[in-house]
Amino acid sequence: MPFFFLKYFVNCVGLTLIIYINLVAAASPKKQTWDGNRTTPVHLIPLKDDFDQPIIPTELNPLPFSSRYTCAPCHDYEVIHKGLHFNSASSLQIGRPGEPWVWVDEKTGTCLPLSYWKWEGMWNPEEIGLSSWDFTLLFGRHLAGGGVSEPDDKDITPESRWNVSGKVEINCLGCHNAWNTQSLSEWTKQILRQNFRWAATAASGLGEVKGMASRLAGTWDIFDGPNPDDTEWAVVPSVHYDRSLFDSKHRAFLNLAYKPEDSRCLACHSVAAVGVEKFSFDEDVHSAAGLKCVSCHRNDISHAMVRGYEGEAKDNPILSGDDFTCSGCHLGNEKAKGEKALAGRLGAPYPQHKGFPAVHFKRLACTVCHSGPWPRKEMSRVRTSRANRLGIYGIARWSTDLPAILEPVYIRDRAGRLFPHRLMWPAFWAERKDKTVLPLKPERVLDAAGDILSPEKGVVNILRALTLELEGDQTAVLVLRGRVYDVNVDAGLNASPYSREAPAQEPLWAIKQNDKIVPLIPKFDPASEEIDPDAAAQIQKILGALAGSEGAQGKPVLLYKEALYQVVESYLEKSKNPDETAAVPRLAWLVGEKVQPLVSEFQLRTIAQITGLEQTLTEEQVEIVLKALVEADKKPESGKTADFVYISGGKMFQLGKDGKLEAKDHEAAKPVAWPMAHEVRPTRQSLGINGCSDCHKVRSAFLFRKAEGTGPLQTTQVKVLSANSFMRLDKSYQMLFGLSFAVRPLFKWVLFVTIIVIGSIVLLVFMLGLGRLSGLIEKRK
Amino acid sequence: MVFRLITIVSVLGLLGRLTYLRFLRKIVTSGSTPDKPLFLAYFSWLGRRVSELFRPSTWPPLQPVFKNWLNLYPLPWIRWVASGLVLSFSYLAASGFAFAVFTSRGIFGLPLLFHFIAGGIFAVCLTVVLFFRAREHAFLSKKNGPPEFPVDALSQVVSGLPLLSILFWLFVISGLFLVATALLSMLPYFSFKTQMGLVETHRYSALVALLTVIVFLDTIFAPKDR
Repeated sequence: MPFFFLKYFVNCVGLTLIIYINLVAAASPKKQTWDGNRTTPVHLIPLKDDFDQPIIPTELNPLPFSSRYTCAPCHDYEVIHKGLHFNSASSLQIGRPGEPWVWVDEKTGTCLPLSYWKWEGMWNPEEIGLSSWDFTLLFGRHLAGGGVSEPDDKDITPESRWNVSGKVEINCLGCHNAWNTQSLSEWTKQILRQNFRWAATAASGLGEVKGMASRLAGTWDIFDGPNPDDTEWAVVPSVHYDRSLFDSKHRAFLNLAYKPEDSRCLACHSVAAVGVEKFSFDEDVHSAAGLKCVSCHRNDISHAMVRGYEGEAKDNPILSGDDFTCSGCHLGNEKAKGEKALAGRLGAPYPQHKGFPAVHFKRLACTVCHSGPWPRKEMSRVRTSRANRLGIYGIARWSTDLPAILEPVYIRDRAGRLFPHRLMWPAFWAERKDKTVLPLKPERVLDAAGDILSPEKGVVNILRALTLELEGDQTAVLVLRGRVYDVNVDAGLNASPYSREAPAQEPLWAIKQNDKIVPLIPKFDPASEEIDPDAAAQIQKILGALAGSEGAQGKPVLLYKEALYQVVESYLEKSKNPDETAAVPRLAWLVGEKVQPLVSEFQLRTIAQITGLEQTLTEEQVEIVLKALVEADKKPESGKTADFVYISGGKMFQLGKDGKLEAKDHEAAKPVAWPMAHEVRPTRQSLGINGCSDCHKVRSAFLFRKAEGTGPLQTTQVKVLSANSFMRLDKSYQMLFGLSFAVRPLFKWVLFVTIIVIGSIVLLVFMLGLGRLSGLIEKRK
Repeated sequence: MVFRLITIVSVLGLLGRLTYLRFLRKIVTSGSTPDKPLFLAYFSWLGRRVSELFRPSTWPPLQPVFKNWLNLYPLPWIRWVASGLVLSFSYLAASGFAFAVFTSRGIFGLPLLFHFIAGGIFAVCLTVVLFFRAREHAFLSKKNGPPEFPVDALSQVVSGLPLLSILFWLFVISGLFLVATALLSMLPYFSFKTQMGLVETHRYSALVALLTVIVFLDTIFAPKDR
């Protein structure tokens, strides 16, 4: 009997184990094993759509291809979905700070650094009310798909339009497409048209996509198909596949690269100094040596990419990240697993570092001396793909000057080692509660501010209306304070210098023809009963144009001395000027009985102050908008008013007790920095190549140059930080230490002489002793 | 870490041995027998002596040492040089070993700057003192007398050696290494590994110099029976 029970027990346990193992195996992702062949298989494969149905390119209205279903038979989409480029909103492995997404809104002067990872100084998009939909619309241009742009159904917010646009699946071809047809510009265009589902197909060049999901009703669904009633405006997105890429079995040839080309990475990760010409840009020495980005930044199917910073293995133990740090290849540091790695991986030369005191290697990262631009008196200003919207080309100008990103600034990591960083000064409007601030969305600021933040709007409307009435080669311009303003393609104003004598009265509305600028109002005598017919016709034309201009504030009139001219029933009528006498012809609005200037003095002042600059705000505007925000937020029932501030250039601007603008320091105004590693310079351009004085001297750029706060606000009240303060080094000591290098050559000579003397005496005594021992020298008596 | 351990063990070991010898000498000269085990008696004696260090009245007489020093350096300028050697070495040893033993990073900041300056003074003073005193110690002729209290074989051997001259040359040679390693590590000719070797050599030379000075001080401050 006992034997029977034992057998029964063993069987039960065994059966349970088998079931458990099978269940676990079924739940585990498919583990792909490499067969050892180093070629990339030809990807002649059937494309699948969102519904896992094969795409027949010859069919009417085929759907765009879905990477989830097209790649799925061989590659585990869910595993890839957890990779570095797709997991920012879900990953718990924070790691070393990286570049933030910067929400740039020039009109409101917003440059807000955002990140789903909890990195210092960066705001979580959810914290400020940005849904995944908003985030995708804002930054989808440089997103790799997946992650936040492919939210779960439970994360979809009511105001979003995912049902119309589709989700942005991982854009596998964005990185792995080996054809040069892969286009970031096309991707961006499709994202902004809310053609999320179609973006990958269009960007890869597999097909041409027409239509705009953004114009479709929110109730439209992919099952609804094309709208036969509207072929002009709300056109449903559709794909026309390039049939030459398909074979007779409707399989598409995808030219894929296992290791993406650098150009694919650089589409989103380019960094270049402002003002540097493309031809003179020096690439990273590793690229010049033939390495690809992915030679170091590797990943397996999990797409958990090696970022390559020291200590990465601690943050992410699965990666053998420490093998691919600078020291991992050049010095052959011990691997995270403890075994000794050989130096010289991928041909990395072994650094001699002759003459460098060892302390440098303990306290400085390799990149301090080897990466980024050589430290000069001023910080280098750079633009990055993601922050400044680079790499998107079209008729409109896509790239932005702001945020102003500076490099390199040297900051210590958690272990106290210096690393070169890029830095930006945040700028945003915020509501202050006690000591903390919460950024406001630009929409809220615009709602409260009205036209205060669009001072050029009135001038642009007038110039546009006037230009329509002029000859083809003529443009209406405004002459103001030594500059000529005309309308640009972005409906803003361009400013150019006005070289002629200043007009008798400003603003002067004028006509620009070729390089000549002539007054808009022709010369005439206002005292005469009848004015010159040509002049009258011109005036009538101008007043007519103004009357039809967008945002006209009243009836347009011309004031000249004692006369007022206006168009009444298609005739130019003269009446008495109710306003003060105008010495020169002056255009104005007649509102009821009152005469108002065509453009307010505030607008003219603001235009003159900021047009042509990268700054978009004046202190006066900030003061008015802060008051407007308080006014808009007033809650009469509670009697409480919220407190609003504006942050720019390292300072927080607030309304003082007297209602005037005042600037203060605040934690939220501090610069945001993230480590940089590229471009790595050649050895002969590394810091220290000229000796210690590359860094250690009294006026050392490395130690003492200034990082001056920059931002959209034109102000002199900015934060200025010295490089040594970022390094947590005492300025006076460093100056003293730098000074010591001035006397070092003498010091070395003194030591050299003492060594010679001491050494000679010691040698002499030794020789004497030897002589005595050998009997060559007799002992003195 | 290794250097820290070696420093602590060697300095404490040397101080222990020297004080233990003094303790034995005191027992023999007083003719008393300790009423407790020898080691316990030693520690209780050591405790008393350490506490006496804080009472100037119990300090060993400095006058004879000072007189002897004046005789050794009759010229005023060379006295300044000798003082410079003593003071600079004191600072160098204090600053260097304090950072090496008690901190996880090497010497830095203002102490480092002063370490540089003191190093220069030390090199120059050592050269001058050596120049004038080398002759006296050149042939290792002045031997110690026979040990008053033959404690062990080592003390027997030491007593038969010209201890002061050996200490002199040990200090000079370690000083030479100290200056040479300081200079070489400032020259742009040596790789990182060599630099590390130079740093280690600098540290161990400093340790040898320090131990030499400790023995020297024990020698010149003649034991006083209490």
